[in-house]
Amino acid sequence: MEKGRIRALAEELLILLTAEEEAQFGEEIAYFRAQSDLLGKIEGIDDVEPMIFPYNKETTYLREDIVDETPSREEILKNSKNAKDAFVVIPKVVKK
Amino acid sequence: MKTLGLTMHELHALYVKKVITPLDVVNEVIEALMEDKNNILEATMFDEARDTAKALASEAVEEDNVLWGIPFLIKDNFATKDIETNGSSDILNGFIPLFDAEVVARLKSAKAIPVAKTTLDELGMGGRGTTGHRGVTYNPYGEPQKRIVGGSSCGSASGVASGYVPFSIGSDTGDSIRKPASYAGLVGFKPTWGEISRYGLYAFMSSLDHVGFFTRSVIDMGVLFEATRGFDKKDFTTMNHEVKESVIPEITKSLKGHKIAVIKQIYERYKNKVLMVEFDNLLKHLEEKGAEIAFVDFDKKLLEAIFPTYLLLSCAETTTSNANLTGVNFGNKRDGDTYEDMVRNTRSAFDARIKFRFILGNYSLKRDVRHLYYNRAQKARRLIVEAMNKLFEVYDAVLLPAAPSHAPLVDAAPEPNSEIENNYLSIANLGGNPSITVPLCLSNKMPIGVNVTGKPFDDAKMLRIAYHIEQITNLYNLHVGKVK
Repeated sequence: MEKGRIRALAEELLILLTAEEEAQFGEEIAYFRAQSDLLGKIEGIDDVEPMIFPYNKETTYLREDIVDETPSREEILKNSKNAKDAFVVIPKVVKK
Repeated sequence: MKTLGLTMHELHALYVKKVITPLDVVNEVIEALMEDKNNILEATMFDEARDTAKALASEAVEEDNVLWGIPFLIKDNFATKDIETNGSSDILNGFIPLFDAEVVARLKSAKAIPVAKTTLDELGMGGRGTTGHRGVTYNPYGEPQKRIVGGSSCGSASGVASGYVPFSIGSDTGDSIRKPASYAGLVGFKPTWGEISRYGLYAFMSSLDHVGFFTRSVIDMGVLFEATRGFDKKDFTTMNHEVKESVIPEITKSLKGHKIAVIKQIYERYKNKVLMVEFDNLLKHLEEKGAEIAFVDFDKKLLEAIFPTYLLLSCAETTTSNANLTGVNFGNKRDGDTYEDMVRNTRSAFDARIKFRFILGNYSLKRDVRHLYYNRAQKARRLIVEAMNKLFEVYDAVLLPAAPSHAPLVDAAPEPNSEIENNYLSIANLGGNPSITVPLCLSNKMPIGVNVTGKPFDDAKMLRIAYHIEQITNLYNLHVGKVK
């Protein structure tokens, strides 16, 4: 895979790769493709319906419309290093 | 009185006889954990555990509740209220959940006592127990600090194998309970997907993630399954079927008429002589107990497809399930001049292996190649699951060694993922099947397990087969103290 595409894929995920990691990724993608090729060897694979869920069983339900207790704002903000007063503050997103 | 190395039921019997108190037990566990040299812990809950044990002392022992006062360990990808839970990832250092994972909450309400959080491969992604905060987590068997215990539930496996506690919580997306159970001589069970709530388990790949346990006794495992299964309104993927009667009486029933399949194409690949002699002996003993054993064929191309299917699906799903790890609302933020820089710098804390998985997952979902990767993996999943379901139309379970040999040395090259015998266990994650590993034998004083996998919701039957295997091998309550 071209380095440009590797960087683009990483950038979409907002991940930085070191030069060493970028070089190492070549081996990873080669292995990944070799493994993936095994699936192509299965006769008629492309005619099969994809499986998203393995059972024929209903697993979605409607919840009763009852108010539940939820954590307070203060509790939730405790885990953010960006919390200030009642807000999560990040660098300005709107550019000039 | 020494209580380390006792099973849940053995401890319970001593509580009922009033020979020991929960505080005696918890203090002994804490002392042992503080001396541990195998790198198993992420965080401790020692004060909380002592407080709970003291509180239990003021009430009567619950004679019909085997979990009363039983100490346990929790893999650190399960949320614990007010206790740091970082999944052994730097990006979550300092993260303190506001709630307990449902499985933890149910065990606490049954009055079991959590004592510590155990380390794991970062975010549950890894099979060797070598990529978490503690570096290598060692297997207590063999020469000290020489062998892996397997991953990703490495700390939970090592702790129970050392005899510190009678059980621990683990999670299993590919084989993360059942493979370490083999290397550590434990009973390792992942029940049917949807039987135990995943609420509070950090998602790796939600459609393959299972909650499960390590114990040293199959009956103990039955108690844990019973105490934690069932619908949870906080996890709408839990099954809302009527919970049947207790599984415990089901476990000890006869094996007569049970049909057990051994997949020829996997069986033929094992080379460890001790393992194969013991496995063949086991088959004979199971037949003597009334089980019917058959060697069956399985399409080799589908067996070869198990690992790539798991790899492709897990990379793709984990890319999205971990997209919330940005350091913005929670987590170990690193500064940056812009929003993007801040998130980039924060996410650079991931180990290279995690980054690669995310990038491969992102790639496999791209429109121009999706048909070759992610979509094909979903199609292969159907073929594999349907082939297994076809087997289960005739047979109650598939029985095979859980690993090709005992635990590898830390310095040995990792076992190739492409080896079917090393990776077939994830077949049960693809199908959501109940799957249990139980000790089979010792090779050079190191354990190797055998695995039983069945059709979804046949959990009690898997426990029953495992129980009879335990009776045959006589490796009930195996721990390192018994072997040294």
